[in-house]
Amino acid sequence: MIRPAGVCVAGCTALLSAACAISAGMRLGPADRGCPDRDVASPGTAITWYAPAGPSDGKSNERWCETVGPSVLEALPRASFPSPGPADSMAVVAWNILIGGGDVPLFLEEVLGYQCHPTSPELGIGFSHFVLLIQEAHRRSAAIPDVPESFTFPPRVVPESPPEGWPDIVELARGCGLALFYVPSARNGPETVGGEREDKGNAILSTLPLEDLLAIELPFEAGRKVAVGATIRTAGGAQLRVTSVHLDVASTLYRTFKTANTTRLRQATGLIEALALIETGGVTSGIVSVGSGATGCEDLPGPIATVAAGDFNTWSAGESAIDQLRLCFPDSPPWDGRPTYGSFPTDFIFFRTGADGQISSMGGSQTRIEKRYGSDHQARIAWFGPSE
Amino acid sequence: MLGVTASLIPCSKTLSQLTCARASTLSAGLIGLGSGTFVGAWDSRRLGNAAKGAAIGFGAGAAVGIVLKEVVRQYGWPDVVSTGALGMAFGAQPEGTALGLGAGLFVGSVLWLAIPSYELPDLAAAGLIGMAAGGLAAWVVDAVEANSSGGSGVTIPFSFRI
Repeated sequence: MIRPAGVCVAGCTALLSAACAISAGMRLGPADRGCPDRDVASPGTAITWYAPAGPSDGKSNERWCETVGPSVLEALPRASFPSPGPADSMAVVAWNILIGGGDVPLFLEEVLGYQCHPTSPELGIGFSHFVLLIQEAHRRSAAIPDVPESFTFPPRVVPESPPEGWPDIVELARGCGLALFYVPSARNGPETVGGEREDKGNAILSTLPLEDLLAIELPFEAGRKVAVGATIRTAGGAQLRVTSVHLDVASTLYRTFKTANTTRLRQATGLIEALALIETGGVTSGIVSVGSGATGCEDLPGPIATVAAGDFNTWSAGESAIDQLRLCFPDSPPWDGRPTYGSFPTDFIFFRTGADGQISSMGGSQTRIEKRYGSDHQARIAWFGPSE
Repeated sequence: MLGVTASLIPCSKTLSQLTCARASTLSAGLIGLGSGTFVGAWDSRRLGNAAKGAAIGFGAGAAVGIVLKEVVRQYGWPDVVSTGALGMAFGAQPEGTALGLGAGLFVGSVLWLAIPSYELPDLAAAGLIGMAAGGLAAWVVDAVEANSSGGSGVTIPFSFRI
């Protein structure tokens, strides 16, 4: 005979275990794996790496990172621009450029009043210094390792109508005389074209020198994502940390069920925790345990004002990942409520002031740029400057 | 499966996303397990039908999963099992889940058309919640009907001892 009560007790125990197995727990610590992107194509410069320390995250990220080339740093812009004045604001742009499909020089000219030139670019009168936080930048190089096809490759993405010459992020930075920090996240297909291979990832382009470089490998979901960060010194020596972020659009079905669809919350939490570790003194040894739901921003603000912006791939502006970021970046310029990828609100600019309160958000809300300039995303722009 | 599926989108809009998903999975599982236990105790024929439907559902779901595995680069065998499990939950109570899915999508569509801030993911969420609610309601109705019909008198010769 079946005993309903007994079945219920056994079943309930199994159910409770199943429900508790839904987990987004992760740990963060300094990355110590030997991947090619740990090298920098610029001697004498160090990048501080943060990565999830969970064995599953680590193994998955490692399978992807062994296919990419070295990071690229050109910390100083190739032209000397007038230093920002004490009252000058600075523009921060977040833009997914679709593997070079977005016409960056045209965008710079029309939106930021900047004429690209390798050695003598011009920043229009009345326009601000700027930082471009780029997602889906691509880079061609013979230094990207030629590995067997058994390695993990996402398929190659080629924009339908790229700008003339389809310059990669290094060519763009050099052609425009801008400072560059680029860290590849993944290969852009396994193909070798003319002895060169392609990888893709996040980048920072700037009219101001880039310091204190950070690479934050996010918890692994569907693909490897590395957020890149740098510090910029504005007028009067005030520092602003900027971070270019790209989260996954979806995980596998199995992971979606296993983690209860916390794909982007997990990655956002990883980002928040890494930035909090950096802000509160950083991690130099050991592993810091981080559980699900921990905001990692209780001790903030830290010493430096911080921007985290990019393509968060959110389907709704009310997603938990966005809410969590809003909590940890309480000084963000208000969102204008407009989507940037079709009808989806994917791109955001988050901000929190530093403990010194020297830099604050200026000019109202973060604004969507109407033209796509060849990308599938619209850019967002916000201004930051000295607090009054 | 119905509980976690229903939670996927609505819970992603709360800061306690994991707690929300766990609560949904646990509550739906308890309802399904309780109902299934009583259906089995009182009318094993109904339970047999549900098991047959679940097996067919698993096969159909897994077949979809195999197609997805060939098309979607990141998909592997765990995803095939996942689509199979979802098909199994659907197949065990096909009428209830299908009706619930349809009702949920209908309500979601009306709200989507009527309320500007109601987004496409909300519409999808309404469908998934409807599917889960319909499937669970069907289990409860089966249990009530099995009880009122007095059972088939067939006993299953095993028991659990905790």
